[in-house]
Amino acid sequence: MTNILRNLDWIFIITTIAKACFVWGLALFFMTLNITLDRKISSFMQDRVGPNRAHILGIRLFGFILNLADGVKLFFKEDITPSFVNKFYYLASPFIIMTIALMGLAVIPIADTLTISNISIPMQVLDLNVGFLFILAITSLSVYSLVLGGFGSNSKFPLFSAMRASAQMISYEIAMGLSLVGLVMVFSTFQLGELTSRQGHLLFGIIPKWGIVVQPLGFVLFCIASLAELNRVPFDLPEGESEIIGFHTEYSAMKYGLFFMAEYANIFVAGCIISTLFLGGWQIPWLPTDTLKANSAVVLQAASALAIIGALFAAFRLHVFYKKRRYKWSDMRDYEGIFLYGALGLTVLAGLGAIIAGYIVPFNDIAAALVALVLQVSIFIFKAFIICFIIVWIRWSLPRLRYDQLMRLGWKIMLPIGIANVLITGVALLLFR
Amino acid sequence: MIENNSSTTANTCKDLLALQIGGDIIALEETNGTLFATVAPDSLHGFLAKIRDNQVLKFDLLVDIAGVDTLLLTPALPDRFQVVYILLSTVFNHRLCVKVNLGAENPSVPSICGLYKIANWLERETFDQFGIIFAGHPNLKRLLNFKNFVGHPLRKDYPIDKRQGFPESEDLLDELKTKLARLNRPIDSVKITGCTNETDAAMDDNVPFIVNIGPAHPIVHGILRLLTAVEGETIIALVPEIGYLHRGVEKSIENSNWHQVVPYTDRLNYASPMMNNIGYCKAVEKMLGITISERNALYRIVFCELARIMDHLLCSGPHLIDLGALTPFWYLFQIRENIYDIMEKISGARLTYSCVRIGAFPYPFYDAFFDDVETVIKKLAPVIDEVRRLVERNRIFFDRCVDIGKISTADALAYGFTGPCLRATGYAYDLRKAQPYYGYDTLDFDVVVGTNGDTYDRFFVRIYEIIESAKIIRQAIKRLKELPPDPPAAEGAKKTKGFKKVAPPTGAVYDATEAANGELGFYIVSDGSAKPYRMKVRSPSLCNYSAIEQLAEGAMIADLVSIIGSLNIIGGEIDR
Repeated sequence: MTNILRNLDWIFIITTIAKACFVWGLALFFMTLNITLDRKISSFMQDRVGPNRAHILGIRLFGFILNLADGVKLFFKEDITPSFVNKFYYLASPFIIMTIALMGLAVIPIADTLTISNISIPMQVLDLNVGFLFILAITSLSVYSLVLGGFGSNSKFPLFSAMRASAQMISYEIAMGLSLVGLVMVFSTFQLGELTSRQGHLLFGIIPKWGIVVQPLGFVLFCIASLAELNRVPFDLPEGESEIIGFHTEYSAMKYGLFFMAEYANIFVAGCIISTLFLGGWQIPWLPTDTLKANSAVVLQAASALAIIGALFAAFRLHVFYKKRRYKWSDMRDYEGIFLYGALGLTVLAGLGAIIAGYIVPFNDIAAALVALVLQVSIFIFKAFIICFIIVWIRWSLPRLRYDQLMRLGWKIMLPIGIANVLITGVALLLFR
Repeated sequence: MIENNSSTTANTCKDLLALQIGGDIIALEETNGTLFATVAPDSLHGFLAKIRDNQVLKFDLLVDIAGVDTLLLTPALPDRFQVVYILLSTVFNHRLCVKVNLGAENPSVPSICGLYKIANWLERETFDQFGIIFAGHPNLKRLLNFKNFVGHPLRKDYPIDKRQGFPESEDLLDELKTKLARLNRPIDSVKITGCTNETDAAMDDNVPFIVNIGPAHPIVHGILRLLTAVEGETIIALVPEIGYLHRGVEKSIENSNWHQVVPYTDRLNYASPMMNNIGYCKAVEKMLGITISERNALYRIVFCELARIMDHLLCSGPHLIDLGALTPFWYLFQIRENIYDIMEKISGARLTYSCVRIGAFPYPFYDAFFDDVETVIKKLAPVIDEVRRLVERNRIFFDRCVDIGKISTADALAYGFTGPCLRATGYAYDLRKAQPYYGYDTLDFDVVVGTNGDTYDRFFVRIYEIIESAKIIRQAIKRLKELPPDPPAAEGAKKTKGFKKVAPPTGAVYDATEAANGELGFYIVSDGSAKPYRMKVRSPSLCNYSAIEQLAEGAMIADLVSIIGSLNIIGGEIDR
C-alpha cells in the first residue's frame, strides 16, 4: 500500500486536479459571461437597455448578477416530468449535454509548458497525442443529448428537433473534419500542445505561422461548421423556436436550464478550440516563451501599463455614461459607480505596484515563468472571448436557414470546398517543401 | 370635397348589366350609390358565371357574401333571408351587389365555389351564421363557430345573451382524412394522440406524420390552428381552423347604436384600429349622404396612412422574427411606438383609439400634432433603409422568402386577395387609386407592386408602401397647414353636446376603404332605427388567409412560418 502511494506521481495528480478545476471554473464563468454577453450585445444592437435590475448591494456588473437570479429561479421552479416520456432518455439528455460541453476543454493547452527547476508541467489537463480526434469526437457526441431528449420526450415537435439535430450533425461533422485535415498536414501533429507551439514559428521571418494564416479556407469552414455544431443562429434549427418549439419543449426548471447552460458553455469551448487551432492558442505574436521569460520585468511592466491605460479608459467611459444619465434608481444601484470606480482604481494601483516591483524586485526563474504563464493564459482567454463575441454578434444579425438549405450548404458547398482545401494544401506543401 | 364617382360608374354598369344580361335579373336598383341586382336562386350560378366572364363587366373579385335575416324588418318582406354577393370588377372598377331572396324554410342556394375560390369560406361563414344551405358546397361546415354549436347566431330569433360552452376541441381529422385519401395516403387505421402516432401503423411508410400546429404556437399571430400531415418536414396536407377569437362582433353591433359601433371596429384589425374606425364612419356617412369637410378628410388621410405604417411595421417586424432575425423588429417597432405616443396624446389610448365620429372627429387635436407626425416621418426613412439593407440582399433571407408561398394574379383574385398581397403578384390594384376617396387622387403617391407574388414580394411591397404612406402624410399635412381656419360658429348656433342621434334611412349600402391588408368593407343594412339592422364586415385577412392551403401545401414547416408571417394574419379581423 505504502509502495503504491509512494510510487504515485503526486505532482502530476495534484497539478492535474488543479488544472481541471481551473479550466472548468473558467468554463462555468464564461458560461455566465456569455449569457450576459448575449443579453448586453443584443440590447446594444437593438437599441435597448438590456438587463439593469438585478443587483446585489447595488452591484449589477452590467447584468452579470441577473444570471444568479436566473439560476435561483431555475432551481426553485417546479420540476415537471411529463407522464408520457421515456424517463431514462428524458432525464439523461440534459446531463449528457452538460458533461460533454465541459469535456472538450480537457485537451486544450492554455499556456506553454511550465518549467520550474526540473519539473515541467504541461498546461493542459490531458496531453493526448490524438487531441485533434478527441475534440472532434467529443463535440459530435453532444448531438446525442438532443436526439435522446427529442426522442425521449415522446412529443411531436421535439421529435422534429431531434431529426433536425441529427441531420445537421452528420452534414457538418464531415466538413468540420475535412477543414482540419489541412491543418494536420501543415503542422504534421495531432497533439494540441505541439500544434500550438508550432504556431509560434514565423512564416518568411515576419508573419506568425498561425492556423488562420496557413489555412484561411479551413478557418472559415471550421467556424461555419462550429456554428452549426453549436446550434447557434443561423443554424439554430433544432431550437428554431418560431417553427418547431425545440428539443426542450417538454423540459422544465433546471433540466431546461442545463440545455442553455451547456449551449453557452459550448460557445466558450468553441472559442477555445478555434483560438487553439487557428489563432495560435496561447501564443503572443513575436514573443515566444523564452523571450517572455528573459525579459519578464519589462514584459510585466508593459502589461501593467496596458492594464492601467485600459482601466483609465474604462473609467472615462463610465464617467461619460454617468454624466449622461438622467434618472435615479433611488436604491443601492445609484452607488454602483463607487464600486466600479473602486475596482478600476485598484487595478490602476496594482498596475503601478507591478511596474515599481519590476524595477526593485529581482526576478528569479520561478517568477519569470509565472509571469509568462499568466500572460499566456490571459491572451488565450482574450482570444476565446473575441470568438465568443463574434458568435453572439452573428446571432443577432442573421435570419435562420431552412432545413434543406442547411443540408445543401453542408453537403454541396462546404464538403467540396473542404476537399479542395485538402488538395490545395497538399499541392502547396509539395511546392514549398 | 368627397365627390364619390362610383355613381357614374354604377350607372354605366347598370346600363351594361341591363344590356348584356338582362334576362336573369328580377330587379335592378341603386340605393346610396350601391347597385343591387336581385336574381332568382336557381339562376344565380349562371348569372355570376356570365358577369364574371363577360368582357365588358368582368366581375373578377368576389368581395364578400353577406347574409341578412329580414325577420324583424318592417314592412315584412315575403322572403325571410337574403344572401348578398358583393362583387368587384378590378378592371373596370364596377361594384355590384347580387341579392338572392330565400324563404324561411330550408333556405338553399347553389354554391359558387367553382367560380370563386374564396366563396368556399364565405359560404361556410354564411351557413354558420344563418343556416343557409349552399347546395353543392364541397365541405359545408361551420367556419367561425364551433362544430357542436346549436342554432345560427346571426338569425334574428337567436337571443344575443345565449351562451354555449364547449370543453372539447374539434379534431379536424375528417377533413384531413378526405384530403389524404385523395393523395392515396389513407390514415384510417392510425390513432392520433397528443404524442406521436401511436399504433403499429405509424411504422408504415405510407402513413404520414400528423402534426397539430396551434392554436397556441409562436407562428400563429393571434390564435389559429392548422392540422398538418407532414412527410419529413414537407407539408403534404393541411387543414386550417379559424374562429378561436370569434366573439360575435356582428351580433353585438346589432345591439348597439350607430355611435357605439366605433369601438367594436377598433378590435377588428387591432394593428391599425384607426383605419377601421374611418372605414366604418365612411360607410355610415355614405348612407346618410354626409359630405365631410376638406379638413376632416385630410385629417382622415393622415390617420389612415399612420395606421397603415403601424400595420405594415407590425407585419414586417414579426415576420423577420419568425425567420429568426430578431434585431430588425426592434428598429421597426420603435417607430410604431412613436406613433403610439402620438395617438395616446390624441385619444388617451394606445391601442384602441375610437376617436373618429360619424361625420367628423370628436375633438380638435393638440397644437403640436403636425410637428410630432413630421418628426416620426423623418425618423422613418433611415430606419426603413437600415432594415432594407439588413435583409434585402441577405442570402439567407432571400433563400427563405423567394418563391415561397407563390401565388399567381389569377389565383389571388379568385381567393379574394386585396391590398399588399394582391399587389405583390404584380397587379396594381389599390382602392386609393382605383376608387379614390377623401381626395386621394389629388395626392402624389405610387402604387407599389411586386413581380412574383411570393413572400419576398409581400414583405417588400409592405416596406415600400410605408415610404409611400410617409409621402402622402407629408403632402396632406402641407395642405392642412395651408387651409384657412374654420369660420367661427354663428352666434345663434347651439353647440351639440354628446352624441347627435344618427339614424340612416332604410336601405343597404356597401362601402370599402383600402385598409392595411386590403379592402376593408362594411355592408350595412339599416331599418331607419337608431341601431344598425345588420352589419357585415368584409375582412381582408380572412380572404388572404383562405389561400393558406394552396400556399402551404408542398412547402416545409419552416416555410409555413414565412407564409403566415407575410400574409399578415390578424386574428381579431378574421374571426370577428
